[in-house]
Amino acid sequence: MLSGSKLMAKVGQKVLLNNVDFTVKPHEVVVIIGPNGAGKSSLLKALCGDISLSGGVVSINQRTLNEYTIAELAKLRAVLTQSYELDFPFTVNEVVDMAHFAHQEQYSALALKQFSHDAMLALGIDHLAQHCFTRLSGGEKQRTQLARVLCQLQPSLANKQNAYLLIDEPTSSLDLYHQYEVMAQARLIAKQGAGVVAVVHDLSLAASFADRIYMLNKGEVVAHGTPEEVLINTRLNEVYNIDARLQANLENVLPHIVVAKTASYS
Amino acid sequence: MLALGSTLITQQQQRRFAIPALFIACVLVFFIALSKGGVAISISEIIGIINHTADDQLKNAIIWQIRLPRLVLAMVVGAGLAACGAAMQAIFRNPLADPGLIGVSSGAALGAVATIVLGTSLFANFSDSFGIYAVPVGAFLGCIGVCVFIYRLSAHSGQFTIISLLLAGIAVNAIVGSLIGVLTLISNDQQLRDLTFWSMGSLAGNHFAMMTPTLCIIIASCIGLLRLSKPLNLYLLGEAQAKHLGINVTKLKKQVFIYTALCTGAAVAITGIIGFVGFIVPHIVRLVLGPDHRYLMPASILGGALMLGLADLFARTVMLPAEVPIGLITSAIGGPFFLIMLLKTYQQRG
Repeated sequence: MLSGSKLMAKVGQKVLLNNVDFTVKPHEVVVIIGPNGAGKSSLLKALCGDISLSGGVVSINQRTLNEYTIAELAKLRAVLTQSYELDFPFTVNEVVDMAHFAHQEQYSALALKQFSHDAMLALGIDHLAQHCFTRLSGGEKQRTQLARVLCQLQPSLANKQNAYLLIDEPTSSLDLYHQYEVMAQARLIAKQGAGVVAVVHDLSLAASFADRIYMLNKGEVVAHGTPEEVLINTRLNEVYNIDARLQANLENVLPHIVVAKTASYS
Repeated sequence: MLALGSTLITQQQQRRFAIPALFIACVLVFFIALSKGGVAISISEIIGIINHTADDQLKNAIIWQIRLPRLVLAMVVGAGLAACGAAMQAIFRNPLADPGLIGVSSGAALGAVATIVLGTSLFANFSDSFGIYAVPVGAFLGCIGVCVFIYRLSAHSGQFTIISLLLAGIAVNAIVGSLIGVLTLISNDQQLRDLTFWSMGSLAGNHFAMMTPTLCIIIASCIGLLRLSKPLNLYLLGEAQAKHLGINVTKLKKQVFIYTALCTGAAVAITGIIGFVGFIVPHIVRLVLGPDHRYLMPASILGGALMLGLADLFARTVMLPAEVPIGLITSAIGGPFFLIMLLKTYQQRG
């Protein structure tokens, strides 16, 4: 289990996280939503150990983050961030192979190559293996990075160890098809045994793929539970200031948010 | 780059052959450089002299006292500068970065100029106790001093960020530049001439006893940098990303900083400022072999040795019996190369 309890974080006087409790178990997809500035990314960074907390602890498999070395953590969790600064002409295969670093002592080069190959196959980018990363499209870049984090988790998943994938707004620069594609991949990774945490902006996307949702506002968790429990009309009105409701349980249609027509929108 | 990038099968073949090919080229240049000069010595004679089986006193002296020390120094310094250049370009995640950014060149220049100008007055004790080694030792101390200062400025509260390193480097380089200006202002004619030549770089007049510490420091630093090849690859993804993949990023940056300061400091101290080797060589290698440091680092080391070996051969034979300062040659090649790179980068980005 990856969990945070009573997480507090601030920058100067501004409170980023206020008493946030959070858990994710293997096999489930947990989505963090909230308006801009709600503390979604801060929560994800806190779970990664990237920001220093002023209170509370994050623990993975019953041990706190401080008890792990950086290398040990890399075997248990992978992180997909929003932006990549990679300006050097690595090939797709080389980028995916970077995931080997944490595992190179336990696995042979051949076994690691197989993990890379499987990950690229799963993401449908095996035909791009020898292409230059910097010249890919946005969607291909995102899939390459997703293949890299999948490759990082595969050794642990193959050994039935609990591993976690944290994703920060994976879909922000993607078109609709790729948004659903990436989240579907995240679901598949969860099916293989990983606990997946994703920060997502789009409420329809969150409702379609989340087992559970945490809704944040002003650094606090205002609701958490299944999409149906969290995305209710009054709460959306309160937090997002929109008159909207969730439409779920439709045949052959993924859940989505419908926004009521008001004077200012028409 | 475009042509090379699209045919990656050849890139993999190039990777396999590049390092042996560069090594063979280095050996060839080594023997050619030993044989050329005011007195021509054939390859078979050189082999005899190195094996101590030849008894021509003059030629023995030329090889052992003049050409061999100088050539070894050129090749090792070239290797060290290129390795540091590759490491700096990785750490700043920018192919235009250079060891000068962390104050090595300006620090060494300050140390050398201070020793030259103040050696007879303020630093008389220092000059007396180190004799002919005073300028190299002064340059090395100046380099390490300025690097430590920049490091302390940028590494506050446990953080060691690249942006603070860059800003501290720029500020300190400016301050050091003005100090050098002041020292130049108060120097006399002979001192002015000395420091001008120092700043153009020269490999001449060194014997093995004087070079040994430099060679040891450079070789040790190069080995250290070679061992960081894999972490440096991951670092290019981004600092947070490298950390998520299991790399202690702060430690990596500190290691690169220390190796670069020591290696460049040792090189600059004994040869003066030799520009652009650290910039061009990793660049060319990256264009041909790609950015993977497991190939880039060793190939840069060999390429640096090759380039400075050749540049020195050129420097001491083109205007016989006079010699051209080697810094002039590398900068004369490097300047235009830098401009071409810059223009190409702009064109690619549109």
